[in-house]
Amino acid sequence: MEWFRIKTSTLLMRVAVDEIVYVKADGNYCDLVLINGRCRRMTFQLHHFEDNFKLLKSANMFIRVGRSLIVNRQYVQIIDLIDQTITFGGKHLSRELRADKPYAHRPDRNEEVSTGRDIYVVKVSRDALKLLKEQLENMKGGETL
Amino acid sequence: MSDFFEKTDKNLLGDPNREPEIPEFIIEDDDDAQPPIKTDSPEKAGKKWLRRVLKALAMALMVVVVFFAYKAWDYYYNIGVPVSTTPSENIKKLQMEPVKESAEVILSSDSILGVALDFYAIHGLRASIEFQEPDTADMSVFLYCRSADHQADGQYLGSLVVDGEERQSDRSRLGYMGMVGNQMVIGISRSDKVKDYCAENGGSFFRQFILVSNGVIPHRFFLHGKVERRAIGRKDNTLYYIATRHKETLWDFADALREYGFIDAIYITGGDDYGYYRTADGERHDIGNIADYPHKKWKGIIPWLVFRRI
Repeated sequence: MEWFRIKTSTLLMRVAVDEIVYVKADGNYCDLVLINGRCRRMTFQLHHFEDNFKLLKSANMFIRVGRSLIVNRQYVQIIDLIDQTITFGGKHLSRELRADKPYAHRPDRNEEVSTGRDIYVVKVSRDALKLLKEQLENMKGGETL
Repeated sequence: MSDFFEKTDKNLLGDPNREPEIPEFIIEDDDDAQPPIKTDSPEKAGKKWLRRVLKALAMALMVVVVFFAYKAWDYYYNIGVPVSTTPSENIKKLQMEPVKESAEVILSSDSILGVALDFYAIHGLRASIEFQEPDTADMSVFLYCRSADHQADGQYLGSLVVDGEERQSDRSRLGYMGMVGNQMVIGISRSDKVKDYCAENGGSFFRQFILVSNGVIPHRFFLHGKVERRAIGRKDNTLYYIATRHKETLWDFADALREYGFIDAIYITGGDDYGYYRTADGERHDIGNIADYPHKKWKGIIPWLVFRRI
């Protein structure tokens, strides 16, 4: 298993790469969402993640989707071009927050926060979704969703 | 979700207009530290199963050993009463030289808990088991009484060893008396160590019911009714032959012995059978009715416990 040890001026974080569901850009920052349903706002830009994902042995696990999103393809469950959403799922994801389960958690105000079920449903532009869909369709069996 | 981050942004990041920073990423790989994954060959897999089977067998064996160890402990040691002297300690006593003292039997009488008792303290005598009832004219005999029980067919109850010859081996009675050379001991145990020691050294040994063991009486007795009772008891290092003057239940008799301070006491069969004892001057005194002497029944079968001058 591979791990990221991420150091900033105020943070040291160690995270298993397998546990990253997606990373979403938000201006100069990005939000790191993990399989346990926790979201961590990182005080640097998304491309730092992208650069380092490429260095991993499992680099092809992560796919850039549009300008503001990098997803872990093993957790991509639904690509919906009509709603323009990606729904993340899978047995490893926090059961309470999965989109197919009733809303169970309320966000708290800790530094590292739990969020609602919407965290596993992300809005993406139609073009980016189309590209992702094609990429995943062209992958070999066992590598796709 | 964006609402949520707008609300928490200030808490998380302080200044919302803060410039993004450049992080440092370090990639760690557990696989680098771990040895390569081994895949078992069929031979190794077979050995793995063999090890598992052996482990299971070892566990089963351990359970069986523990079970039998418990049963052995329960049978030999958990006999319902505390024990004052172990068989090994009694064997050591049998190996020691007896205290030199003049041969005599000292009679004292007392009544305790409503039980009238005669105590015959045994000094300077050695014990043996004989099948011929002692003659009243035998001046070397200072005391004699019955010892082990026997059935109508002459089979003895409880172990019996006479002059090194084992006549019966039966641990159903836990009290015992062992005698080798000039030494004699009584004790309580299911172990046959003392019996074996007596047999190997040409001594004698018999088993009888426990009356008192380490100052405690058993919680129940199997003999009921009121008859004259007899016992061999130990108080300090002196052995006593004890007889009730009247008919008593076994429980009353045992309780009186305990109350009187006997450490160990074992039952002696015979009831009001005739016997005698001699004082230091050699004079004979009857115990029981002389008209009953000699015994006409079970001649040659009754194992007499005879105390003679050393």
